[in-house]
Amino acid sequence: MTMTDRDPLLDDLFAEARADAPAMSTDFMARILADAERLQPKQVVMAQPVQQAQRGIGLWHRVAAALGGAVAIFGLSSAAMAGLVIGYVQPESVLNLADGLGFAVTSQSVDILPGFDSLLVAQE
Amino acid sequence: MPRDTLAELSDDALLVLYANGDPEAARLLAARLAPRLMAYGMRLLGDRAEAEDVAQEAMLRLWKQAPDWRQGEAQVSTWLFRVASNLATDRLRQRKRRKAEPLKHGDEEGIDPPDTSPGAMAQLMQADRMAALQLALDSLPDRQRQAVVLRHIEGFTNPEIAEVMGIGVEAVESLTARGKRALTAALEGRREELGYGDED
Repeated sequence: MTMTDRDPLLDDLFAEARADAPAMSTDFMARILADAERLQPKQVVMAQPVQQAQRGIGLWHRVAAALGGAVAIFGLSSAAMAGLVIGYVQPESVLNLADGLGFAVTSQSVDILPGFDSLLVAQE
Repeated sequence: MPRDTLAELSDDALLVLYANGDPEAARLLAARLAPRLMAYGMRLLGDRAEAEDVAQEAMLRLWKQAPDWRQGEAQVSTWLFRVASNLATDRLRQRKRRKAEPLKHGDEEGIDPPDTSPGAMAQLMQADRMAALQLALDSLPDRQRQAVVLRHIEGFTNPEIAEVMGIGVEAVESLTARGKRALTAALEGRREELGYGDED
């Protein structure tokens, strides 16, 4: 059939068919939209998990982590306390050890931070 | 994105928005495409319930395909009509097998030449113009019916039909030409009744 070999009846029926769209039932469209909703990829949320996690951590937690954790902090604290106690109490054995090393330390003159003078005296 | 702005977007762009999670994009795509698929299914299958099933299944496959859709490679409409064509063809084959088994002569149904017997044409007496067209379409072989509906009712171009049907453009031209000749022959007996008796 060529372009000039047209059938008016057929052309009219085609035109009517183009205009004759079947009515959509609400149930039909609802089923299609339900499928769409079920299969739709979820929207990507720009979360910041690292920053949110760090927000709950205080300064001391971060310092402790930098120093090696709770065990390291406990060790450092114990050493500091022991140093203070020894400095105040000055037990006999410590004074004897100081004498043996040449530091002239007596119970009357406590020099917690001996200066260079003491070192010079010790060498004499 | 506002609905008015979305309505101006192409099917391709809407599908990408759907894949990105925009809920309004699905509504617009369904409103644009589902009625056309439904009408196409009815022309091919002649049954509303089956046409709805085909349209829904085709749309479902589109939703699944959305995350992997490559813009610009294919038109959404031609892709959908191809899916719908294949689904309808499967149903027509199943229908013929079901009819063929007990009757043993099903291969002759729906195949050339169109049924223009007085008995078949008598069934058109109470039908309206659209029913007459549908009955004539039903008498065509499946591929001719697809090509004629896509070309003359759905308004696709021959290259688009070639993409939908997976054949060459020349084959489309041949199918539509033979289909129109067969339709003319199928309607010949009702020409006067439909108001065209004196024009030949």
